Amino acid sequence: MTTNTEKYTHELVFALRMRDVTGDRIGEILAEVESHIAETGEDPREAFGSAKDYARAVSPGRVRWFTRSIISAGVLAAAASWLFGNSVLSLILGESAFYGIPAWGALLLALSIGAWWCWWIRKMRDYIVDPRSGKRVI
Amino acid sequence: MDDRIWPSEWLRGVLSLCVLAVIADAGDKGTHGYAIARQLESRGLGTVKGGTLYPILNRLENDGLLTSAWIEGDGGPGRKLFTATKSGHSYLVTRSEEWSMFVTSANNLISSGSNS
Repeated sequence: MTTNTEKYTHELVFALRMRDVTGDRIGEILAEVESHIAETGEDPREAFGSAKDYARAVSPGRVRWFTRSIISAGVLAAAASWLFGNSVLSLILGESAFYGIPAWGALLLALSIGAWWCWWIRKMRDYIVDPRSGKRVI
Repeated sequence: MDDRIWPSEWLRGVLSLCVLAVIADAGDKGTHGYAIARQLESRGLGTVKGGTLYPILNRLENDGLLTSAWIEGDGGPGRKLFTATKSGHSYLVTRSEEWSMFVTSANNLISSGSNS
């Protein structure tokens, strides 16, 4: 069963992620909410307002680039996959890939984009850490 | 305990100074969010919700006026203890003098208006 507090903290994580708040900071905010609620026994929505409003209160003026990053990552992955498929097929058929680019050139390009994509995703990975235990939350 | 509700624009102006005063008053042992809210209420400032209090605490900490540390709770999820820094104490001294001057000016103005 999901408690009120769990439901609220999940919504809060989403709202904070959308506002580009770092994992460490999110962990801190969640711990504050949980600790306060445990102490007062209040309903989290009653004490902190809606998750969206509270996220705005603790991160005023943040740029919302997270959605854009996810979309860019998706588009880039799709482009690299298409390029990879196209070049492999051209290699098998012994043709040039497109616009006269040799198949091996297109394959090299696809692999470079793929490698860069993996590096970028690793760099974007940002875990939420609970400051009380030092453990990863999600 | 006074459960009067003050106009929110009054609280907005003075709440962070009051929060800092409560924490400074707690000394080196520090104090935590819920205790700060209770103290504000018992000192007549009304109920201050978590959603108002924690952003203020975060701002004061970012400004270097407070430090915080997590301590383990007895079976509970732990508490965040806030302690005033040296610059927090001196900020409080300066600001409370300014606040007194401001309140005196406002009182003089308001009383001259209401007595006329």
